[in-house]
Amino acid sequence: MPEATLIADSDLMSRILQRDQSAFASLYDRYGALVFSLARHVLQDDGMAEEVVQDVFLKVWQQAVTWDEERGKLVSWLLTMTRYTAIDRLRKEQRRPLRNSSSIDSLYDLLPDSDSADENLHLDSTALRGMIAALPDEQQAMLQLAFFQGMSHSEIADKTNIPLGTVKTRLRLGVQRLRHMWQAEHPAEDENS
Amino acid sequence: MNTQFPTSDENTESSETAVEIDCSEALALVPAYTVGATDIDETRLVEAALFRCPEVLAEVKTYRSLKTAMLGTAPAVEPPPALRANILRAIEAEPAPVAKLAGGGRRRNYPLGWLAAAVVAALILTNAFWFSQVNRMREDQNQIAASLQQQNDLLLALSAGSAVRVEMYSPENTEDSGYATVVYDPQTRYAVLYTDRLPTLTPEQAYQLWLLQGEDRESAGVFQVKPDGTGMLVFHAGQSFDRYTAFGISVEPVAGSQFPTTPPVAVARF
Repeated sequence: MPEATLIADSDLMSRILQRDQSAFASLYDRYGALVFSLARHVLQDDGMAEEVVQDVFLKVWQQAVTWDEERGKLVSWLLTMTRYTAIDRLRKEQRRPLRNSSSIDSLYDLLPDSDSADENLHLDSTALRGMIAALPDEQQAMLQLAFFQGMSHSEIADKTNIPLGTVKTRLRLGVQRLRHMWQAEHPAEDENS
Repeated sequence: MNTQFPTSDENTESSETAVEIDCSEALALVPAYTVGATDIDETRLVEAALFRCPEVLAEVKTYRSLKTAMLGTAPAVEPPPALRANILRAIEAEPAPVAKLAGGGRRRNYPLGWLAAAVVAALILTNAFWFSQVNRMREDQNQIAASLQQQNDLLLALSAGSAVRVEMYSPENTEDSGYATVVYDPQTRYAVLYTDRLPTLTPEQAYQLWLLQGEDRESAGVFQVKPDGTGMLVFHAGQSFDRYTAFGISVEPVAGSQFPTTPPVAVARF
């Protein structure tokens, strides 16, 4: 896809707004594998992951107007949408109650994006995988259940039979530790005021 | 489907309940909030603190780029080749999106008291970017339609006075019955529901908000209330708000229902 990668995401999205199907195909070629990988990781099922990818890209086609370049990179928007969609699907499959939009960190997403956070997402994520692997196993497990399975403190406690207080402590320490490692590598990326 | 849904509306008063926020408790929850692990009450606490506690807002922002990068940490897996063709076929069958315009009805714009003040304070804390967005709001409605999304857009609408407020009351409409308020942004269809004095429910139950269009009922989400009956739900409407004929709240199983299964505890009809 060398030709497609020369076109800026914003240009692709402008063309998608004009109902340009070739632009949409280019967008899929650029990000389809990333979206599928995330959906597959959440759902652990190829068929359901394919349905989520289809849902996500249909939303792009129908709601391209809602992406705002000033608020973040397209890849972040796509992956955030994928995570929510896949977790919703997972909760339905597991007959767990759906959590309303305000209960899955959605207000968090209204905060201004940092410019560089997703500039080199692949590179950042490779480094981050190493940092996550450096966490104690029990903290990694909590992080996985929360971020990729969409489980709350109490749901993790129920699933693992670990006391609620221990779950909260492990998760808090794990995420804080991850942030410290992350900030050491990316010192000026997030705003502090 | 419950035929008592909806019954009546016509409302006059508004009431806003101040909520005490424990900033230090909210601060300790920020790491879990970042990865979506907070339970409903914890989430409400953190989100309320974002507007009241500058240190909580600052702390949340320190996790921003980490969370973005975490989205890309899933092991790479190639999608099946047929998926691309399926998706391209699916969009061919999709009609062009419908332009959205705000509708009036009996919905009214209101000054929003402390809520608007808190929103403006949050905007100041966030950064000047939001102010440029507010300026755009005054200058270019089309641009706003493109850039206003998610809940920040609703907050901006609140601060600019363009949000629409709808009061929901108990069909009995007695003095001590609970009520709810929906504030929405017509452009982006993002909305917030606040409740007061709704009865607390059993752990197996939850309130569910419904957006009604004729005989169709669209769920806007489930929510719980605190012992004082206050609660909050942020939601995105599936359609332009001027297409709905009523809002209603019913008591449902905690996982929610496909249709209202109990009489409404609060309604607004247009």
